[in-house]
Amino acid sequence: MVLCLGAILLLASPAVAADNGKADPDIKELLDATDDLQRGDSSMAKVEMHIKTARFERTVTMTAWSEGTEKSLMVINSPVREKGISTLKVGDNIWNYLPKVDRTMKVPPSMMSGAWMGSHFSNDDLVKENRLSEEFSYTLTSRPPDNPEQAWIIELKPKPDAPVVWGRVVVRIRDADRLPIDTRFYDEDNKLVRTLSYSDIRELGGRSVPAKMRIVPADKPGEFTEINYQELKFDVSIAPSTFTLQALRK
Amino acid sequence: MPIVQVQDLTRTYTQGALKVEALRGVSLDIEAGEFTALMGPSGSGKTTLLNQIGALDLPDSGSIQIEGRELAGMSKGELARLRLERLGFVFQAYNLVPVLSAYENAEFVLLLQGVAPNERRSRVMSLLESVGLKGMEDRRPAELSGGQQQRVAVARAMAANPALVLADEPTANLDSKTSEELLDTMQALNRDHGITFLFATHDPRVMERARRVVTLVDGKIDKDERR
Amino acid sequence: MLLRIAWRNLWRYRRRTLITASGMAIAMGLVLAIACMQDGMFAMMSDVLVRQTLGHAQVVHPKWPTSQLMHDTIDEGIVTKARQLPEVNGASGRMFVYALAASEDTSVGARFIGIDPKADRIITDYDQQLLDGKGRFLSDEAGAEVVIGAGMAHELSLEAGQQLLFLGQAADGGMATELLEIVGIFESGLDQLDRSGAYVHLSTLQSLIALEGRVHQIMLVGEDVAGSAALRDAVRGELGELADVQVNSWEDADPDLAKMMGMKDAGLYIMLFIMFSVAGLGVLSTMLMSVFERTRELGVLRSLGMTRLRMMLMIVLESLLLCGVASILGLVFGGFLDWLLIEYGFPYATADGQGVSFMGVTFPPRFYGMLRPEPIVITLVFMHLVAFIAALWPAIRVARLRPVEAMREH
Repeated sequence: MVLCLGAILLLASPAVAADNGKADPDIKELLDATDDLQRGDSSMAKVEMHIKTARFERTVTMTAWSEGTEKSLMVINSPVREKGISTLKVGDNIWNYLPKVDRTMKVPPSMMSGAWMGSHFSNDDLVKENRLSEEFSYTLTSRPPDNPEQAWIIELKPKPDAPVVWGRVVVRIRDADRLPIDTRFYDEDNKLVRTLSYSDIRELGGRSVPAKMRIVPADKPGEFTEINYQELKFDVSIAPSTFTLQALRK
Repeated sequence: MPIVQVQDLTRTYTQGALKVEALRGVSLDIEAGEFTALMGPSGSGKTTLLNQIGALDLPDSGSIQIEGRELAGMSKGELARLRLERLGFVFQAYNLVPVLSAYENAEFVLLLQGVAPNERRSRVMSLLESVGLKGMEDRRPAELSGGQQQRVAVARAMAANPALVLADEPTANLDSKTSEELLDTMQALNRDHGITFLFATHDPRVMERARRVVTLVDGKIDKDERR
Repeated sequence: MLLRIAWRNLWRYRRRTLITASGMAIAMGLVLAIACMQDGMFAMMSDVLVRQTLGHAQVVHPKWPTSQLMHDTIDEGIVTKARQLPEVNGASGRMFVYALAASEDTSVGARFIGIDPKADRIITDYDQQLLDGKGRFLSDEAGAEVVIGAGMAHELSLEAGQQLLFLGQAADGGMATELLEIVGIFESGLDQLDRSGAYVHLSTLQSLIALEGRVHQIMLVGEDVAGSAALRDAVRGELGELADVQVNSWEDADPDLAKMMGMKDAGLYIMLFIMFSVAGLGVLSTMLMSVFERTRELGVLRSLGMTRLRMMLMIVLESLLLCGVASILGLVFGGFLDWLLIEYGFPYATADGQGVSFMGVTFPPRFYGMLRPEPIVITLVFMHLVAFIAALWPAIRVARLRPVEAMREH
């Protein structure tokens, strides 16, 4: 879903063109476009991740490659202590390569809900790839003229058997560029859990995309994780062997 | 004033379903220095009268005064005190404390009275001597003959310097010679020390020595003879 | 005088008195022996258990006991400060970190316990829990060494001599990774500890998670378990008021355990109650019989002018004297049993002669009795109380005697 590994790899896909007509856009299209912001055939990105918690504040830079929604690889560039640590995702599995001890380690199921690299993203966030429109039923709750943000506000409720932890998700999509403003995640008690917001819309890899994404946990005031794209290329050619355990260990 | 003044005393027991009228209106005075015997057949009420005078049992009606003090209305503690300080008792045999020596039995009453140790010792020793038990102070009752035991009882009754010694069949379990000796002792005490004795007995030996014989029949005074 | 009569009366029926007294003495001796055994066992258990699991007292971050969060640490320098106190016999910092423990193929969640092996040796005997032939305990010097539980070793298919990967998050948010050599494998008997516990040198763990000079807990050991509050107060006094430091006695740290330990006399009371209820009946029947047999004699005493109170007192005294005799016999008998227990101990070893493991702590295979004044005092008081109560009924009977009727008895 939204916070897939692709969240860091904003991928090219035809964003829904701004519709000048007065008719409501297809909600499913809107949602899919938001999801697909981050999807594509292949990509390469240089990303800076800034993490602030009550205990520490740190910045991690990394390079990431992806192919489709199934495969991706991230390699830490800094800080020095963690340089070379790599995360490989293939399907639902994540492996970490730890250069210091020269070991490759599959992240066990018990750790999937754990924080990834000390951020507010969990390992689970990296592997979930389903589209919002597939797991949620949706309703349009507000149209552009009716709210100050001039946004399409869509409320999502999980489908009965959907494997999601949220009770409700609210997505706001700006009418002007059809890019997401933010997504709010609520738990089953309808309590806000976290907010993912998008900003800094820039031309990256030939696309106009939000270069900055910030996730804010609702229960930890002052904490956040922010992702900044420094470089983004789409449809790059990546050797298929890149996404193998052998390559991870290179 | 008489030591004992008894007036219109009645006492009825219930023994099972049976009512026994032990005393049916008895009046009697005992003067100081008397050596008196209450005589009468078994069941005539003489022991009951003695117990009444000894404050061991309370009458149904009538009054008893010891040295002018009315017993009716006294608490049990006061009665115990009266017995301890003003009355001496000699019962039939087996009335000593078996675990105490002759000396200790005689001393017992003094101890209860709180008499000082030195005085206790001299009084008890002289009493035992006067009843003829010198040298037997440390014997336990079981080591004494019946007569000797009764002498200890007499010594004990005397120890507290009582106004009156009540003796209920003191010779009942003694042979003739021993009885005579015991009665000699008591008579001597009466004569030499002026101790007042009141016996309940049907022993003719006692009657012979008594200066006053009161005969009870069916709970009433039948005869009151002075000699 | 009353005492004399009571004492002599006691010996009038020598056999009966001795039988009753012996019965009470046996009950008393057994109670004392059981108390001695129980005290010894409790002393041993609480010493070993408390010392090893909680320390006599501990210093923690106020939040740590409930939060167990990595960041709720205290300054390691407190260890040095605490050691200077005369009350403190041993002090050792600990660190607890949840991380992944991994072999080449698989991984498990683990609780890494950073300890200072040298300082901890005074407090615990972790090194005693090593499986035979499964290596050694951590060296005193810091190093990339780990001692893991048998359950974890099994799950990871690792043996001593192989390497274990530590994978966790450091306090600065970074990823902490380290290869540790498994130098030994332990079995504590505590299932969870054996499956997820791993001992690492404190310094190694501190640098691994970037918390140098910090610890989660400082275990303090004083003279004995009982002196925990004094130990705590001494350390509190030394440290002064520090906002983020809390000193707890082991009772503070584990009130449930403290409550359990505090109940040790309850068993004694129950035992006393049962044993002496029976003994009390013995006294009662002895005294009743004695009074019954002496009715005439008591009547005489009463007619001589002895007050009812004194009569009662005499009977009560007799009962108490009986109890006193029983106490002396009981002390001798109980003392002998206690001596045996203290001198030779009480074995409860398993068939192989090993000590029993319980709650992650291994107890020695034999424990020794312990003599405390409390059970003796309690038993004596209780016994005499029983004798007193048992004498009341006979005493009241005696007080109610009517001299005339009593003397009619033969």
